[in-house]
Amino acid sequence: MKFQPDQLKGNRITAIAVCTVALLCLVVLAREFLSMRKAEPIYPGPGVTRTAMLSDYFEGIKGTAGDTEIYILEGKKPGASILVLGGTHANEPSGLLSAVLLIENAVVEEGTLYVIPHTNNSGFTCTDPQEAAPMRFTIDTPTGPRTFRYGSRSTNPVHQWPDPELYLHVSSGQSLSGAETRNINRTYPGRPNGNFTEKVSYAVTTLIRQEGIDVTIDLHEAAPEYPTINALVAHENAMPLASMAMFNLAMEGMEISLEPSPQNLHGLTHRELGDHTNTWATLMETANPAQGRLRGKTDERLVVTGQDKFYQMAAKYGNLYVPFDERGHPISGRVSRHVTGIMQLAQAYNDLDLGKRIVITNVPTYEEMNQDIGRYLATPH
Amino acid sequence: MMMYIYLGILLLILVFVIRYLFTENKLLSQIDAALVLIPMLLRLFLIK
Amino acid sequence: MQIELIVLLVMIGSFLIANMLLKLPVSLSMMLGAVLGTLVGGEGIPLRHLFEGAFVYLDTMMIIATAMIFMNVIEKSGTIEALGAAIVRRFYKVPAVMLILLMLIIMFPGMITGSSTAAVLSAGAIVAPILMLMGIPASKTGAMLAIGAILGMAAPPVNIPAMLITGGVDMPYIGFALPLLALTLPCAVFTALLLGLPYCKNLDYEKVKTGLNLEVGSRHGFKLYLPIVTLFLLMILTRAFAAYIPNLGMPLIFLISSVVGFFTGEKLDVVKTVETSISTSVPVLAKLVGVGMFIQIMTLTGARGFIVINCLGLGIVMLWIFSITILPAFGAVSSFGGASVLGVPFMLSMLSGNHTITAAALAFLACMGDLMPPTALAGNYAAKIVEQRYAKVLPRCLIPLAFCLLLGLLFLIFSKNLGFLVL
Repeated sequence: MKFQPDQLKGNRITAIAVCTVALLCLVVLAREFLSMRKAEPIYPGPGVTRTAMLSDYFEGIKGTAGDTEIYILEGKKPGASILVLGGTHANEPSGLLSAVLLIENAVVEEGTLYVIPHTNNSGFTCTDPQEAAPMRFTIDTPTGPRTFRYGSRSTNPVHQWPDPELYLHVSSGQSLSGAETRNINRTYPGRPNGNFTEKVSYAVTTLIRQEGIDVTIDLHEAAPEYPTINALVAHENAMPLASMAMFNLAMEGMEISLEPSPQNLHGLTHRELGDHTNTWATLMETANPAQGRLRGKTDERLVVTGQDKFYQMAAKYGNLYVPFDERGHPISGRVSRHVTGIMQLAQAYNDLDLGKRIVITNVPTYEEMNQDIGRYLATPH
Repeated sequence: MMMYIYLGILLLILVFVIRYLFTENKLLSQIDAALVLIPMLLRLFLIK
Repeated sequence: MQIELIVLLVMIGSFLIANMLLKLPVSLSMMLGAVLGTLVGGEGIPLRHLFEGAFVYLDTMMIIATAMIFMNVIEKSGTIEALGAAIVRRFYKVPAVMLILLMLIIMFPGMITGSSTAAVLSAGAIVAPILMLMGIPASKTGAMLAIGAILGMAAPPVNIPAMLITGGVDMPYIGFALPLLALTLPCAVFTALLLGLPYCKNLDYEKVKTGLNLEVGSRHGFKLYLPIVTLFLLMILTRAFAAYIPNLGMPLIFLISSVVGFFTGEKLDVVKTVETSISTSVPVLAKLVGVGMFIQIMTLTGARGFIVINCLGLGIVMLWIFSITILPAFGAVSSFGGASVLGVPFMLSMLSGNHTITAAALAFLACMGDLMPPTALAGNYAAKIVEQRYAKVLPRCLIPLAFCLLLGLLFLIFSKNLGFLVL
């Protein structure tokens, strides 16, 4: 007799059986999805003088998944202030790791460094559907492995749902596709009475205003096929600073392009923080093949090594905006670009001789980090 | 506010999907319903 | 052979075997293809990846379910029948205009929900008997339904493939209304006239009249159209005054309009109406869950990247050819999947033209995928309504389909010259 699954009869008993299997799946899935709400430990180094919460600057996010730690590194001498935003997009892991590396190593002699490792904290609690990204990745340190979450580009929909069909960026009147309403780098300067993500960006804007942050550096990654990559993007006010930093970076052997913040693309840090606060707003991009559409097998290895055979092919076809060979773009290299960029922006600020300075020390060099960032992450305990 | 309205709509749909699961007399249709249930329940319980 | 190609072949092969030989529903066939893909790819059975993929469609699933409720309400309360009757009565002397209006009715639910299935199952089911009454053969009626539904899916304001493509390249879904209308309306007119006009030139109104329900319209008057008015009003108001009115979203708008419909026409059993609607929706919703699984596993194993990189290695002329062949053919799996998996990289390779026109054309071509067997969302439902096998309906779709593909291709090639359509 021919097997005909479509003729199989169902009844109350099969219904109960099917429900039971579904419930079992649900339990397994719930455990796995909920595991992402546990944050990775960060071990403040000798330079951290105190921590604060983002909700200290805007009560409206207190007790929500949007609230997050700010690590503050104060020098003995007062001076200029820099804010580093890591984890704006939780699927761009070099932003988080660069922030962690600064928190665990840097010492500030003069001025103040503010570091937020999980700027969109909610984004770290989920992964993007159909992107098949790993939930975590591991960096080996000499004293044991450290695990970090690889999250979503956007706020977790369980914290902000549903998306509108179109997202209206109120202060500019610009419309974007609905899902962008959960992309924190489209919601600046934010609104105190806006949606969840707008409230978080409002808190960041308020922090910058209240603390009189001089320079803001937002850390990102992009797919190798995107035009803005290995780049430093700067608001027009920050151009003198950024161009000096770019010159210094080139001297150090790190190729980076300088791009002006587009006037008509709203909601992004480098546009809105520059327009709405006195900070010099900048943003840096490195190449993360785990985000791209051309990538092969998507796993932890891809995130960490940044090596991918399809991207090598794409580079030969001329479809990419960064060189791509068998060495790929390992995360150590990406983090070293970000951290070196931050150091050079600080140096450029001092070189501009504006009457106040920020001096950051105890940060490894570009070459040192490029080899292995694991050596500069704290011992897991 | 809107989130709770949408959770309500989701619950409404879910109730009828479960009803469908228990009234369908084809096993494959019941499995179809279960497939739909899982993501909807994960959102209803604010897990995913 | 590369492992990604092996995974891809296993996934597609097992899907086809499950669907065509074992007669499993598309949803379960997709799931089976995905599971075998993970096994061959050395990933075990990653439950998390399988179900995570479905979340891309969660909002779409809610739109389909609530749209189905709305369509059932206006169908059972007599609104659609009255509308069809009114159109035939007013326009039977000008059959060309009448056919085009009926085509627009078929398209309407697709336009607002972005789902060809919603269009076929609701308006399509009402218009089909009118078309057949006028003497159009069942297979051609089925073809009109299928093509109309797909054009509705592609027409503005909601074109989900276009949203998927624009979302993938960081581009706002703005300015698509005219380009999408310019693509869909000529095709709708062409299809309606090609398939319908030869049978409607000498229409015997007295004969047709017997099949029309003129009574329901006169019994309830304008009140009957209130659900549709509410739907349009809410859609327009929430968009026009987005800064002041909270965004209600399509599911809520459909439900509010459905509630209105419970009081404006023939009496309805609320529970039964919702029950029927959800019963019709479940297979479609499950299909989306299956598609979500399939795509996530393609991404996980690198099969997605394999397709993309092999398409990108082509010159622009080959890309155009692939846009009118492989892109719609991907609809055999899913037209949404086609837009997301192929549409986005194609878009990135065609950035030299007008971006909005290119994205609109690619989205339009991806929509054609809903005709592709075995999934053929629009096609299979259309065939079911006219009680034909899809194999009989599909040949009737070929000339209109060729017209659509040609128009889409012209938009791709001349996207720069068509920039004036983007407002």
